[in-house]
Amino acid sequence: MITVLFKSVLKEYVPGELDRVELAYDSQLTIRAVVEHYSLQPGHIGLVLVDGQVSGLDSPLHDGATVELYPIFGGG
Amino acid sequence: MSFTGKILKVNLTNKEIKIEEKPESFYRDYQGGHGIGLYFLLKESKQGFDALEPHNPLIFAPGLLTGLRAAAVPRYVVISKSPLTGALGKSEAGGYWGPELKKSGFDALVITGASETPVYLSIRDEKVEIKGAKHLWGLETGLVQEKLREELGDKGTQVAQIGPAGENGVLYANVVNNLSHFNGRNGLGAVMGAKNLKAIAVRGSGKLKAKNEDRLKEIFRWTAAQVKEHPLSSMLHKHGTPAGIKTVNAQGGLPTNNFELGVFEGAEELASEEHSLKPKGCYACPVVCKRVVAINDGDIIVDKKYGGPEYETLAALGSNCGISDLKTVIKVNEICNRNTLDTITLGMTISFAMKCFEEGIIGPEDTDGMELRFGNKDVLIPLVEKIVKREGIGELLALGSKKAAEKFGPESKKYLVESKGQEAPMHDPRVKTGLGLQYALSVNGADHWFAQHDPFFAAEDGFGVIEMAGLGLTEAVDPLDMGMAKVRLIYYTSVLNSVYDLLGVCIFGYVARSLIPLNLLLDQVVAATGWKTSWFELMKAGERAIAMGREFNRRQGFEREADKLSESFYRPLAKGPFAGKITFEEEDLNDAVEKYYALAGWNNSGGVSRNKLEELNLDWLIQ
Repeated sequence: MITVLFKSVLKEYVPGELDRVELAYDSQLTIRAVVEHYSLQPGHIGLVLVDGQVSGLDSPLHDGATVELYPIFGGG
Repeated sequence: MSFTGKILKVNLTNKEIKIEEKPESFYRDYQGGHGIGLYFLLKESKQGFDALEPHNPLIFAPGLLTGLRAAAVPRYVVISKSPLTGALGKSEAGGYWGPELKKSGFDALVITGASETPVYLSIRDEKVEIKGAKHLWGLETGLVQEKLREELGDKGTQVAQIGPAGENGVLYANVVNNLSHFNGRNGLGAVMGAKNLKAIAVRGSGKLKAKNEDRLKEIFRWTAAQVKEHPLSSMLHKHGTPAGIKTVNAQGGLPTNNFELGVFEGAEELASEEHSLKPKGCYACPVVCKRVVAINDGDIIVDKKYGGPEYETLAALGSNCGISDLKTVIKVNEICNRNTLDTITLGMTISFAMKCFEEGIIGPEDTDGMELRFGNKDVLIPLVEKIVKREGIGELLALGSKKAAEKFGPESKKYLVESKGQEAPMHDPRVKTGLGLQYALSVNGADHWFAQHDPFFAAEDGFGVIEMAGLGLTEAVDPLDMGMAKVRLIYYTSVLNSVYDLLGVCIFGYVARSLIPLNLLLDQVVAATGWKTSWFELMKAGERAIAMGREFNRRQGFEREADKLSESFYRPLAKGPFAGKITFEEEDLNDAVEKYYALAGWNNSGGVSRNKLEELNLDWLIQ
C-alpha cells in the first residue's frame, strides 16, 4: 500500500477534494504516474517527500511508503 | 499609443509646475517604469547626498503598457534615493494609481524640492495644483483617502499617500494607493514625508488607445479564460500568496526566529484562510489575487478596506518573530497599512531586536520594559505603535536593523540579515541559492524579485524551463547549485524582470510565476506601440535600466564590496531538513557575483564598463 498526501491546494485536483489517497503497491508505480493520473502538471509539484525525506517524481517507491506532495512556490 | 510623451515636473520648494515633452525615441530606450525613473533620477541628482534632503528627486513612473486594457499590467514604480540604505530606492506597486496617472496625460511625475508646510498634489488631467494639507497631516490612510475624494468631489480619484510613519520619518515607511497596494520597500514614504508631501490625488478623463486594440482585447480574453485553468494563476486566484507558507515550511526554508530555523510549528495556523474574504484585484487584471481579510470578534477588529497579509507579511511578522497567532499578525498588518510601514523590514527589525534580547545583548532597560522574546505576541502591537510614533525603543527601531545594530554594539551585527542595509525578504538562500545572488546583486538592497526563483527551474519539465527556453534557459538547474548555470539563470532572468518592471507587468500574471507567456507579452508591446520590436530590443532595454541603477549606486558610493550577504546566511539552519548543512560558502557567492559581472559587462569594481554604457546608448553617463 502507498499513501499519497495531497498538501495545501493540491487536494483540489483529487475527486472529492480528498487530501489522502491510498493506492495498491505496484513495483512499476512512480510518483510521476500518480501526479499525471490526477491531471497535475509535473511543474506544479514543488516538493515531494517520501517518508519525510526529500525525493523526486521518478524516485523508487516501496510498499508502505507515505508520499507527500506540495505545490510549487517561489516569490511572495 | 501607450505613452503620452509628457512628463510632469513639480518643484515643491518654488511651487513651479512644468511639463517636459519627450520624443518616441526616448520611450524605445527607457520604455517606462524604472527606465524613465532612473533617467530623471540620474539627470536631476548630484553625486552623494542625503536621501531626506530636498534635493532628492522622487519619481512616480507607470510602466510602458500601464493604463491600457492589457492583461495584468497595472504597475508603476517609485524611484528615489533610499533613506534606509543610501542606495537606489525602487519599489513597484499595482492597484489603480499608475493607470490613472497615464489617463491624466502623463507618463511620469518628477518631484523635486520640499514644501515648508504640508501639501498634497492634485492632478486632474493637465490641471495640476499644489494644495495645503495641514488638515490631513497626522491622519491615517483610510481617513485621508475619504477626505480627499470628498474634497475633490470625485469618488474615482486615485490617491497615493503616506500615513503617519512616513510623516514621522520612519526609514522604512512606504507609499500606498487605494489603501492596500504598496510601493513597499526602501523607505520611499519617508522621502515623501521629508518633502511634506502627504498625498498625490489623480483623476484622468483620457483614454489610452493601443495601435492595435483588437489584439490587446484578444490576449485579455485569452488570459481571462485561462486564469482558472492554469495551475499557478488558479492557485493565486483562489488562495493568494499565503498558499506558499506550507510548501516553504515543508522545504525547510520558512524564515523562523530571525532566519535561524527553517521550519515553524505554527505554520498551519499562519496559512489558515479562516478570516479571508473574496480577493480583490488591480486595474485590468483577470488574476485577482490580492488578499482581503476582516475580523470582528470583540478584542480584535480588522477593517477589510486595508486588504490582508500576503506571504511576505505572514512570514515576516509571524514565523520570523516566532508568532503563530494569525489574528495578531492580521491586526499588525492592518496597523502597518493604516500608517504605511513596510511589513518586511518591520518584521525583520523586530526579529533582530528579539534575537539580541534573547542573547542578552540588550535587556528590558533598552526596550521600555518589554520582553522581546520570540513568540511573545503581546509585544507586537505596542512595539509597532512606538515605531510609528518614534517613541522610546521605537525611535531606534524606526531606523531599521542595520542602524539599530550600531547602537546595540558589535556583538549584535552577526544577527543581521540584510544586504546594502535592506532586510531580507522571506526567502532563504540556503534553500534556494539564487536568492543569495539576488540579494547580493540587487541595486536596491535585498530584493526577492530581482530575478526569477530557483524552484521553477529545478527540473526540465518545470514551468521556468518550459517557458523561458526561448531566452536560452533550456536546462534544469539544481536549486542548491551556485555555479555558472545558476549565474546564467539569475543573469538572464534579472534582465527579464527588469523588462517586466519597464512595461508595468505584474509578476503574478506572467511566466514563470503565472500564466501569460513571453510571446504574448511581446505581442502586447507591438499591439500597444505599433513598433517593429523584438525580445532582443526589450532585453537590451532591461539591461539598460539595470546599468543605470548600477551607475546611480556607484555615484552614491556603492561598489563591489556592497554586493554581499550578511554572515547569517553562511551559518547553517538550526532546524528542519537543512539543519546543520552548509549550502554555499562566502567564496562561492563571491565567485558567482564576479561571474555575473562578467556576463553583464561590468568591471571588477562592479561598475558598468565604458563599452557596455556605449553599447546601451548610455554615453551620457560616461564621466
